[in-house]
Amino acid sequence: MKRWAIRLTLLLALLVLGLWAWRTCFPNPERVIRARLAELTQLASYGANEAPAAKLWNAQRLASVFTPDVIIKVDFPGEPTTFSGRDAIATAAMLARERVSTLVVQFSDIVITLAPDKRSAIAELSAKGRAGGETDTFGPQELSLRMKKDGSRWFISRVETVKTLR
Amino acid sequence: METEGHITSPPLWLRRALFGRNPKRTLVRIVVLVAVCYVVFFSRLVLVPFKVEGISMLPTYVQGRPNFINRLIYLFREPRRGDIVGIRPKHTTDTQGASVPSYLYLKRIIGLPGETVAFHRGSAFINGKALDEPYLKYPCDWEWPPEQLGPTDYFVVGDNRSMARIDHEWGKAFRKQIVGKVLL
Repeated sequence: MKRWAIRLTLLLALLVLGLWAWRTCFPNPERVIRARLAELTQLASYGANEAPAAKLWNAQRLASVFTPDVIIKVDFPGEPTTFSGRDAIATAAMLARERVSTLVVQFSDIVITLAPDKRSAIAELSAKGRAGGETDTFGPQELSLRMKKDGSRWFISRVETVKTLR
Repeated sequence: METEGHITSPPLWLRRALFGRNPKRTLVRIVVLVAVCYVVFFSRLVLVPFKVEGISMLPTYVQGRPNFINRLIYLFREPRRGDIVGIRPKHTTDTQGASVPSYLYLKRIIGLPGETVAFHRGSAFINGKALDEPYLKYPCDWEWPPEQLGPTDYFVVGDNRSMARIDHEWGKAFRKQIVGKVLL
C-alpha cells in the first residue's frame, strides 16, 4: 500500500513537472502577449517618488515595448494625437512625468486575435488612466494594438483608438 | 437548557419559528432562495450592478450612484426611444454570453433603426421632426448634420448636453452592443 502510494505521488509529481516544463519551453502565445501588455501598463505607470534617473530609464524601457516604426493614433483626452517611433514615445513619457506627478494605467477586457502564422496578433482592449490622484481620470477608451513577434518577444507596431459609438 | 444534569430541547414554538414544521423542506427553501438571489444579484446573468462614473448623464444619473442593468428585458422586446441602456465596447461584442465587460457606456436611446437623426441649435431631430426631451435640464448648442441609421443601429446620447460635443461620447451603437436597460 505504501509503495503504491509513493509511486502514485511520484508519477503525479512528474506529470506536474512535465506540464510546467512544457508551458515554460513552449508558452501559449496569448499568455505571452497578455504578460507583455501587463508589462506595458507597469512601465507606463509611475509614482510621485520616481527618481530622475529612473524616469529616464523607465521611459526608455517603455519605448522598447514598441517597434522602431510604431505609429500611435489615439484620442488623448478628446484630441486626436498621432506620433510615431520609439523616440517620440520616450519623449512623450518624459513629458507626462513633468506634467503629472502620478499616473496609473490599466488595461481591461483584453481580447487577443492571433494570426494563423502566430507571428502577429491584434489585441483589443479598454484602457483607463488615473493621473495625479483618483479624481483626474481619462478613459476608458477602446484601443486596438497590432503586435508583431520578433524572435521570441512581442512588440507593438500600431496603436489606434476605436470609437465605441460611431 | 440544563437542569440538574438533564438537557431539554427548546420549546416547540421556538423550533417551529426557526425551522418550520418540516425542517427538511425549510432547508430546501433556503437553498433555493440563496441560489435565486445569487443568480439574480451576483452572477450578472440577470442584473448587472454598476456605479455611475462621469457626468454625461447628469442630471438623470449622478456620479457615484449605484444602479443595476436589466439584461433580460430585451429578450421580450426591442430597445425603445427614451430607454437608458448600457453599451459594451465593440471589441467585446463577440465574447458576449454571460460575460459583461468591466465598463459600459450609459446612454439614452433617441434614434431607432432606419431613422435619420440630426441636431440643430441643440435640439434633436428625428426624421426631420424635433424630439420632445423633457429630461434635458441644461442648455445645448450642438449642431450635427442628418445621419441615417442602419437596420441594427441605435442612436445614443447622454442627457448632459451642456458638455462640448467633442467631450461627449455619443453616436451610433450596434444592437449587439446594447447589454440591457438601466433598472432604477
